[in-house]
Amino acid sequence: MTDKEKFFNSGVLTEERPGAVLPPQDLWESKKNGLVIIECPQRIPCNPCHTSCPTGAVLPFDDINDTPRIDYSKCTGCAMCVAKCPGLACLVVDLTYGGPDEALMKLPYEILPVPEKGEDVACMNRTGQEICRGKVVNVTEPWKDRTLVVHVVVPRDKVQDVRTIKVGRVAKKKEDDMVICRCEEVTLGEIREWIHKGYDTFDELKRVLRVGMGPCQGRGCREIILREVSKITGTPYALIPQGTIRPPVKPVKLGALAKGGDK
Amino acid sequence: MNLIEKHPILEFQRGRKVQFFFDGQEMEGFEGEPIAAALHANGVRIYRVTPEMKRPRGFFCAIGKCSSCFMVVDGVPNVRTCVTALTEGMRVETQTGKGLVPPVGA
Repeated sequence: MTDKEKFFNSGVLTEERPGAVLPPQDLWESKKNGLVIIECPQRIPCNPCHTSCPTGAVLPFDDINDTPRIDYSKCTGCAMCVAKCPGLACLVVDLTYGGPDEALMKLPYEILPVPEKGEDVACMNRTGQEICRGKVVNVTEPWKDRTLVVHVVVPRDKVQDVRTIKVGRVAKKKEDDMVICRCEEVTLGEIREWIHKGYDTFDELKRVLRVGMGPCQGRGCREIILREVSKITGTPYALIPQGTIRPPVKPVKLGALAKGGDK
Repeated sequence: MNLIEKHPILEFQRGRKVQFFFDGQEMEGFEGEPIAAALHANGVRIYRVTPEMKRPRGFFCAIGKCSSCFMVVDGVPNVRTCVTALTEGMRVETQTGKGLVPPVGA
């Protein structure tokens, strides 16, 4: 299995596929204000990209579970869908902006601090790694619902990879030392070590490391561990057994069990 | 008190002001808000110390899922303070390790 497939199976988009296609190159290079890119390759019941589109560029859904399809001749790069998509899966890329080495990206943004016009920000790829710097040239609020669209100028060769920005910096921690199972205090390094030894299901890891056996019963670490298993083995995330879940699934007082009642 | 007043998405509705105690120290919070939120507003960031690595723990998931915010509340250990409502005069204490279960009938 290729690294691309491994990544996609663990939830990171790696190439074009239905629901996540790039605009036709000719039109893209000449269209002022840019064209939308929607990265929504999974079938889910959701269609605000279509209902919010003022020009009908995001085509009607026959089945609400369908992945979005776009008529690029109608897209004006207005970014209404960018601010409407609940999954922040839409963005606009304007290749006509600025010099030959620049491009403008309109990205959805829902966290504080809000970047300011002219601010230099870090640009991150789909896995959250910083890959270049960008300059914020505008911040808009298309629906007046406090979801912002940040217009950021990035190096043109990075538009395929930049998917979000970060204002300021966060100190990096050594990955392997991160505690993943916070209840039983197990680090990512230990989990990786045992997956490499062949303990590649949640239940096996639970038996050797006690992950998921603390008071949270895996609610904190299960998904991170399954994703790590997926990354290392290449098995699609959806096909990895979730591990056995036993009641009580949340903390319950013994008194409540002894007496009965609903608390 | 140190509270978020401006948020990009949420609006806040708060209950009446009440007194409570953190490790014996008197503090002020809003009735009905999560104990952990009241502590956070008062600048308290460490709610318990873990049994194995002795690491400080505070707010983490904030929705009653992760058990990071376990504290001793009115003598009862392992209370999820992020989903337990604050009441007047509550005695909240930092929890060390797994906590001692109070004797039956206490």
